Amino acid sequence: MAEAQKVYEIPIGPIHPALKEPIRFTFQVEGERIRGVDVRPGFAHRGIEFMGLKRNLIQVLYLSERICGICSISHPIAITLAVERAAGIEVPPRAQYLRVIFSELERIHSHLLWAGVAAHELGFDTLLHLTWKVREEVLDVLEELSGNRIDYSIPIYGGVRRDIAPEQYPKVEAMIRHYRGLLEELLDAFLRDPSVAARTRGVGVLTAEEADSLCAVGPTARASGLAKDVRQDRPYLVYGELGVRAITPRDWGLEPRGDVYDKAVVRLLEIGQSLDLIEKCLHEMPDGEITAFPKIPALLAFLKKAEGEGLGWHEAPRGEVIHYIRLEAGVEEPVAWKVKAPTYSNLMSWVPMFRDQEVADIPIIAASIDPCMCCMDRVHVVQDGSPSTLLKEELLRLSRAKTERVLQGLSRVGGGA
Amino acid sequence: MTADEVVAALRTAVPDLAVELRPRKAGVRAPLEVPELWATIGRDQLLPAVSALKGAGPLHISIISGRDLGETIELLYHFAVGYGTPGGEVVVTLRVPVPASDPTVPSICGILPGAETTEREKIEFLGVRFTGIPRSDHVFLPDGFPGHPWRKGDPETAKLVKRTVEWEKRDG
Amino acid sequence: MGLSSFKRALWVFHVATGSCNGCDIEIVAALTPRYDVERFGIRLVGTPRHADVLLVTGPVTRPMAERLKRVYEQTPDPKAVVVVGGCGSTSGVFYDSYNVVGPVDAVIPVDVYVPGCPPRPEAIVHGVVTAVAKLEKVAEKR
Repeated sequence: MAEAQKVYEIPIGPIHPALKEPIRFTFQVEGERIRGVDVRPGFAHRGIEFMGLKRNLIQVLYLSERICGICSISHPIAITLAVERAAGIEVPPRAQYLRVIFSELERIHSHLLWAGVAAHELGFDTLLHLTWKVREEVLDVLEELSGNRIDYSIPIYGGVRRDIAPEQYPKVEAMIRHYRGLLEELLDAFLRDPSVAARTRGVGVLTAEEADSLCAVGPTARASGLAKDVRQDRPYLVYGELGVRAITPRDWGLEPRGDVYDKAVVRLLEIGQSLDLIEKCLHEMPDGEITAFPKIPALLAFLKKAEGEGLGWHEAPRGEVIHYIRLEAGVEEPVAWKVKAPTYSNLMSWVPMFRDQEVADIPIIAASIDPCMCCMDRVHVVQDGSPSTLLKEELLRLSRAKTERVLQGLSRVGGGA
Repeated sequence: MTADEVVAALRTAVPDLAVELRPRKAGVRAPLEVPELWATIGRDQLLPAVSALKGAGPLHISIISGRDLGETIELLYHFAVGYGTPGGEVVVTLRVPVPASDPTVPSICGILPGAETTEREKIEFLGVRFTGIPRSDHVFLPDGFPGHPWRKGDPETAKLVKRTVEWEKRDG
Repeated sequence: MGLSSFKRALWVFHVATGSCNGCDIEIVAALTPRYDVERFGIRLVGTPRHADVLLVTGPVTRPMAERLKRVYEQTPDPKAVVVVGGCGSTSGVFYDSYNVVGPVDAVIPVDVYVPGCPPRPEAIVHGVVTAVAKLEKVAEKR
């Protein structure tokens, strides 16, 4: 049977009806099996760095926030750390704790968002609605503290723009208690559920060797067993003192296999870790100034005189974010700026993850690295030169049909498994 | 992993290499220092230096950044060596100047396959050539994009900037 | 405008043409239980051929311009286009990029603009409801 199979090319993308940014995949498939994939990003390329070199540093900060709406704390944290390093600015202690609190809040919202999307791709829409419903609680807290649900404008060079007022502490603490109660339920729904395990175990595997040589970052690398977390490996802000440890599937009592299930394990456990970090910060945070430059014109004047280069890094929800910046005295604009987002590093891990997988698993594998751009609207099956179109709905239907099959199989085998 | 070990490894590949250590203070109560190393090397020394780093510990390439200085193009390879132990990573930046008239650098993909995306990005944005790179087609820019946006005052890129409102004139 | 003016369920297709994901996640948030637009019959569909309303987010990048036009042409009449977010309305902070051809109305006709960076889910729902009013006017004329 297999010897008669022809290899077809299936391009997918770049328009996706549901959530993410556009990207195009071209799959080589043999029957139901994927033999190779070519990834072509760039549909959402806006030339951020090019624009940044024409704007003053404060404008660049706001531009960096709009690199990604989900990482709208991570990029500003990395760029402020880089600029502070280049210009020699000391950040007041309280501001360092506040930055950690906001970035951990962002991690919680981002990981819940991912869990919902993953459930949707598998065909468990109830779970999508459950996770997105509970995600609203952290958005409420972010809105209470920053004034906006997305794009918070919190970090600024030298500190943060908003403090947490004493009357806001109980709200954050209430959120922590709320999520602690819920976490067990979420772990049950995702990790102890036999049908989720059946659909994600052994799917989209990235081995530790591949993750290492392809320089994967964040939960994608940790799921493969690499204890790689920027917060742990190269501490910044107060992460070194908070004692952050990289979470791998070993914390769930399993040997890492690097499949989709392991990626879910890492992300869900990190929600609990973030709750602990926020609580610790609230507790340990000293009183004091929240920024070294309360007045923006003074900050801009200082930055105009600054000269030097610096790196700033941060563990975003998806992995390592790094910014390189170079300042020269006398100009308001940076003379060099390079941004690296986590998906950039994880792009190449898709290639081994898709190899020899089924077409029905394309949606969940693509989503498993939590790409900041992803697209699966249309599948063109090129067959004998005449393209027939498979829609994203069709692809999702394939994914769901597989879930159905798996569920039937489960009930036959275990009855009450 | 300590900074000294990494410097020693680099010097086995590039003898007498001048390495600048810029330790970075992190923390409030009991600050610790994260080692950051910066060094300038020639393009012919790049492959031995990266191999030496790889030999020193798990090697991660964060990004290659770059800048057009007119007669030269400066590439900065940002690495992190050794992860897995808290505070155990050394950040290494190798600065590689190349002449703008012949912007060719050996590809490090043979040593570190994960560098492919960032090398391909430098091809399209700076017009640098990498010898031995597995693929060199565009990643982020549309196919057939005429210019190299990070080259200073690139005329082709400037032509593509289409502004709907010239607000500077309106404000004036 | 009361709920009685909803004469039909509204199917929506979402296109991201280079947005930062901020608006896109707020669109999804509008679908999930807190905001739950499905109770008004508003539903996200997987193909423009089934859609009444196009929700477009982001400035239009060079490679997406042609594709956005194609999606617009594939959407059956009568249709309404709702732009969600500041970048789609005016190019926003991306106004001087070499890879942005302009705001959405530089590529396809737009009926409703929802400003904000990103707009709240309530604002997005309001934008879609405003588009309903437009579609109903078109239907009355026929």
